Amino acid sequence: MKWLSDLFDSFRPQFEKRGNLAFLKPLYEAIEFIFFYPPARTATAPHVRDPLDIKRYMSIVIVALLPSICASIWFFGPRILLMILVSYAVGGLVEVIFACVRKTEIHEGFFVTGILFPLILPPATPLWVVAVGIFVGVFFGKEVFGGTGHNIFNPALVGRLFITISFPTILTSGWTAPGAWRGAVDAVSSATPMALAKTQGVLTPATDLLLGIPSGSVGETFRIGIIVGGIFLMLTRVSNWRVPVSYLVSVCVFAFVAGLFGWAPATAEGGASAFSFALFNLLGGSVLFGAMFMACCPVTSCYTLPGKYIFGIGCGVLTVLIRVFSGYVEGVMFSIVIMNSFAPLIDHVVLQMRYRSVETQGN
Amino acid sequence: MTFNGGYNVMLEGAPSPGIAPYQKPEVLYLPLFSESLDFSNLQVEHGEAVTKGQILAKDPINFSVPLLAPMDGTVNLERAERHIALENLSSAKEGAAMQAEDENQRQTLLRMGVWSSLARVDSGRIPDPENTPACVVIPVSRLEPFFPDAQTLLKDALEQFGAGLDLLHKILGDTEVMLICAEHDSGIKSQLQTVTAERSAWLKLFEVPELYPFDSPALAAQLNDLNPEKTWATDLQAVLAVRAAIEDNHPFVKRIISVSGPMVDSPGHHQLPIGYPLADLGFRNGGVPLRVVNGGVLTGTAVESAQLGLDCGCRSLNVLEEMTKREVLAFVQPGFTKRSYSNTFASFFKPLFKEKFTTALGGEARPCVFCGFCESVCPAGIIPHLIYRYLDHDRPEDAYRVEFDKCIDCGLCSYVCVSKINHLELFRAERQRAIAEAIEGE
Ligand code: SF4
Ligand code: SF4
Repeated sequence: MKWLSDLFDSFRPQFEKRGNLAFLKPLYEAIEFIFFYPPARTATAPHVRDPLDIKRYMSIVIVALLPSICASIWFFGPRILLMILVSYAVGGLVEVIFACVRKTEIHEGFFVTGILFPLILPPATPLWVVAVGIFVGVFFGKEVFGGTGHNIFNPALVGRLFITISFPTILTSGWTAPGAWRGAVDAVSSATPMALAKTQGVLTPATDLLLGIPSGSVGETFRIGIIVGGIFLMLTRVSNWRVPVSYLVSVCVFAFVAGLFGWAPATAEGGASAFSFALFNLLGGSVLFGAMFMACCPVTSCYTLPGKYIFGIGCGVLTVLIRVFSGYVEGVMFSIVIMNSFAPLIDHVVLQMRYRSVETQGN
Repeated sequence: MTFNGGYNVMLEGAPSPGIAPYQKPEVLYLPLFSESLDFSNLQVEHGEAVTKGQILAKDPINFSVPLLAPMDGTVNLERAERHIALENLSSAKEGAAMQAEDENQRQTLLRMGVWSSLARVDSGRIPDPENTPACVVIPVSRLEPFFPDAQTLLKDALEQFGAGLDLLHKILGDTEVMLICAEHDSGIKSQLQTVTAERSAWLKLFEVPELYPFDSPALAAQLNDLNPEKTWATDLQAVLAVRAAIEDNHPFVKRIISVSGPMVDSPGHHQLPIGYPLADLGFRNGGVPLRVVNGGVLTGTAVESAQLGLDCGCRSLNVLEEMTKREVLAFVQPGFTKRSYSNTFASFFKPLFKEKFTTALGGEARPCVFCGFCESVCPAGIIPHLIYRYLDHDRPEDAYRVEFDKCIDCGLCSYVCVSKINHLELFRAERQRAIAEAIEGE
């Protein structure tokens, strides 16, 4: 690796204070620091530190997404790689421009946003829509708030929400059937399980959902992979289990209740079928993906522990309400964004209650 | 009793038990400072001959606690800056420190250099000799890497330890005493039980899980509902020194120090006089730059290159390699040799192992991502990232509202932080500020 570090050393002066590329310093450093960590040391106590850093922390999310990514390429073809590429290129550009203007480092959060965004799009989304979406997501979802760590909304969801509202026709016509590109199935496109349930009252069987046979967003179809990735993420402690678990449990519970009260599609009334409606709600659509990879985003969900449960339950309730009562077939995205906006308030209330009770105890 | 958080940093180079011999020094360099003391009031002149136990300087801010001559010798004030060098050393005939007629035993402890081993748990400062604590807490098993181990300190000294406790109890106005002992430290525990059995009226044994920092006196005070303003802390050696000072008229001028950490060839214990030249300890001449930490690696302070001899507050020296290399693609390596609080390294699948830590920060500083590690590792059950944010935005009232005062200064939050934020540094600065403000207000 000596040659590489020599190469970096030879380029470095260009990007220093008086070099003619000084304005690109954040970009240069980001690339250099990917290969060679800065030799940063502790200055004061604690003199030793845990080896986990933000780069690895974010990379773990990508590792957890690998089953979904691989499956999506298998289902929808190499086109998915192009979508990911466009997402990274455009999102990266926004990030780099902001870092250069602000003269700060390029933050790693973007590595996750850039991969999450294409995975929540319909597989046939035109590439220019991908570009517009990630631009809006990174720009308005993150940078205007001050970058990673300061954003209120999940940037990938902001982008997705924007194109849902701006380009409704593109999105509704874009549901490619998995395997169609290889000629593995006859139909080119097919309705999603959520749409089938809403319009025709058909509940797709759980095994089909788990294996990813019905259509859906790029990354959400192969649900076994999502579950494996999500559990991996929780085991590594990169995601806090409280949000996904409370989200998923509350979806089950409220869908079951909805089934009992007869709010579900016609076929799902009564005890036994309320159960199958609950199972369908758990596995169908993007609940699993949303819970495992979007809702648990530590920056945009609650940071207090009770807040995490409230956040998860709120997402679950809203998801079921939107699915059952609104004109939309899917409510995951909306519910997470809505809860994102409530997260600071929830934390505030939790802290108020916690520390008020301390004060009164003390008196 | 519920314990929150905690984490053991598995550092290589624990001191082996027993006291290893050391080379006799030619000269002693007595620093006129330590982490908490500043001996600005000199009591001797250049060239003066002094005897063991004689007062060389005093700290006027901290109740005039003295810096004592550890041996007979001649004072040289010019040999090194901010140090008193002691030359022409000779071992004294024992004892012989003068005693004033009307001196009470607290003053004896002060004069003999023992009092400065006491600390208030609320502020970490040396307590006022006029005050009386409700309880004195003594951590016996030390869980931070590394401090002298209790087995070594108590070897053949259990009876003296008991006598020291009796004296401490009496001198400090019949105070209660609490010993903190790790549950799994069964050898020490049974020894302590024999000590506590005869003194159960005022001596308690507080057993804690073997996890850093559950040996903390401040945490023990919280968990046992002791008033932190009336709780003091000290250590094993100080208890032994109390007995030696009162019964044998011995000044507290020698310390058992652990010299340990991954960069020490044979980590162990030495009994050294204050001022012992650090250069004679022989760890400074390795091929790589080293950091010598005075105290544990999580809370101690780096020894400046200007410090030449052991200071009077030193209990242990831990030596680490300074990180100078740049790691290549560190974040994609499986990580069989690194252990993390998270389970993101392949070492997760290996049994526990001791690690050769360096001073590497291990990443770049970033804004907080609310990963929550600092909160889950915090033994005080508070939210370090929230407090950090308040203090960083200059809102100390809010920080205290969310119980910043519960922080026991263990440093685990900084240790685990993914974004390499150093909470501890800011927390300490705020505490210093608050103490300075309180002193001004008096
Ligand atoms: S906030 Fe204080 S007690 Fe909690 S981990 Fe940090 S230093 Fe330790
Ligand atoms: S460990 Fe660091 S990044 Fe994580 S919540 Fe605490 S301060 Fe924030």
